[in-house]
Amino acid sequence: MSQKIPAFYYIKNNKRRVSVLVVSLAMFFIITYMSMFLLSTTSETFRSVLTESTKYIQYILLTDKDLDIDAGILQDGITEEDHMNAVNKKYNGIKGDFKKCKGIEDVFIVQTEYAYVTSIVGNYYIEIPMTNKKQMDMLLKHMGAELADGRLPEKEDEVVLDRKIIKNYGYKKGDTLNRNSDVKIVGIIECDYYFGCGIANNNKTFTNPELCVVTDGTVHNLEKTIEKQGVILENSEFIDLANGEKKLQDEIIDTISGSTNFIFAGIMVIVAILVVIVNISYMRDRRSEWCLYSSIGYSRKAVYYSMLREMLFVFVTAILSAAVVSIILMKLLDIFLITELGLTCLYFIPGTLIEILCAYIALFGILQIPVRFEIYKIKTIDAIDDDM
Amino acid sequence: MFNVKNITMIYDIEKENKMYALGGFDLELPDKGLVGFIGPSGSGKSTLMYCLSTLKRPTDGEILYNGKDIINLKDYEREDLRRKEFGFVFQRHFLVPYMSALDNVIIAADKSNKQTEERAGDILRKLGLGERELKKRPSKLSGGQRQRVAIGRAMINNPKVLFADEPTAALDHENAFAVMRILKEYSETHLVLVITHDLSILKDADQVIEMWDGMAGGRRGGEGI
Repeated sequence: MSQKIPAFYYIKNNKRRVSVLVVSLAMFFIITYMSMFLLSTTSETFRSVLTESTKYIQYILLTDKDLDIDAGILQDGITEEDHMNAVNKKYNGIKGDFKKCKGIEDVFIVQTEYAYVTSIVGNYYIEIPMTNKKQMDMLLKHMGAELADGRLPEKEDEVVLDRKIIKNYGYKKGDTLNRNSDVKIVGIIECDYYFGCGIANNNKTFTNPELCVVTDGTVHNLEKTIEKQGVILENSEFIDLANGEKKLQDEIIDTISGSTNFIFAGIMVIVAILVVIVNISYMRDRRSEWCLYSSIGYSRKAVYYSMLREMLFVFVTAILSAAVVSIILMKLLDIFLITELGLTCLYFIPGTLIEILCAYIALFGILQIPVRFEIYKIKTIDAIDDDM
Repeated sequence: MFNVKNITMIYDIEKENKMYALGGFDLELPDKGLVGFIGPSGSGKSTLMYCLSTLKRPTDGEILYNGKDIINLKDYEREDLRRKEFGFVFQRHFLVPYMSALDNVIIAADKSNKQTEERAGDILRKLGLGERELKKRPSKLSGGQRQRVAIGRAMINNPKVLFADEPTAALDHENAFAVMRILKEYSETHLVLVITHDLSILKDADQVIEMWDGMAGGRRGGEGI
């Protein structure tokens, strides 16, 4: 049979029914993608916190063992001043070798303060390097930060923070960094990263002295990089890109993926049941129509192909309309919620898109079962009359 | 056009009490003209029509259409024959409820193009439907109008044989005669087979075949019945 049964007769004349199917399928896309988008504010924010700024500034928290503080002293206890002296001694011993390492531009001792970034699910801390004015200016320039509001730190215990951190935590200019801290926020910077820095208080003994390693963005594993120059710090903690990626995967992505899989599967099951039920009820109403087609000379294959074309139209329309609605919703959420919360989000999530498309293909396949069943049951008019 | 030999149709063939819908008879039908089949319910007239139109396969016998056996045709050949050479007006109109009158006719067309749409419109207008009725769905049409649409659908491919099973059963007297006039006109150049148990509508038939208990009985000319 060369002549096809036009699928658009049904679509054109049953807009309400087709709309129900399109909306059901589109809702699956929208709900799933929007859920992933909202969860992406957690993963993307922490990705930025853990792996973006650490491309350019990395830290080493030297342990007592690597500081060559012997066990005898440890047993008696050491003062903060002793500890700082040991850090200085170690720093002076290795800074020359550090600067020879490929990708390392500078290294110096900083005191670190912490700011917290809170996402929809959980929070994470960011190191805020506190150093002298000259090194602070260098760090700001290195990170591409520009003052947007207030002023740059001029005195000890003053910091500037990126606008995202300010919005996220709800800081205002003049606030202290933490409840029990003397460190005061004097300005807001615009930066691509969650970043802040300030001037350390030299009158205080450093409570959290760390080596701040300024890199050109090519250093992935700091420990291995310095090992090549013979600097072995096997007991120290490295806050570098490799460490950030591992933390992101272990503590964020793996934790979230359980929830995302659950959300995805739950929505998929509900929508599949809904669409199959709606589709079956619609198909039942069309038995007489198909029997008529069969009687006047259309083959079952022609009827089946017309159904396939209708279903393809419904699926493609659902996907396209859902994509448009999702983009609009994401844009609105980004402008009015996510940016205001100082979070980072991801519009294009290839993994989720592939999963959704696979789910649609699976759903399309599942729907073939009732369709084929109904096509199999097609009779010619004579058989209908026999039944009557 | 049709040459039927010893046609037999047995329902429930595997059961003990077999039901003979067609009891084995011969029949010859011309190339054109209005042929009526009349008989009480269960006489086998609908079964005969379904066998002639390839919708059913008889249990035994031979049906030659233009000299070709149509019982043993493959499915696609039967579909092709029904599509290109046969037209159907069923007892119930079987119009697609969501389509307009015009679309209900076009859907049966062998080709779908602008000419088909024009031809479908011409047929429906000729059958007495107004411009407004062409765009109406079956639920908005009267019984007579629906049956005219069903006839239009049967005629869209200009079939050589038009099968009409109780085409006037759901119509009042006036509409019934109007439908028969259309079929009579079509039968001037084609073969029209009409099944009915209302003898009065066959007054213009060229030939009337009576059926009783699965057998084709006396044949009479339409005039003067």
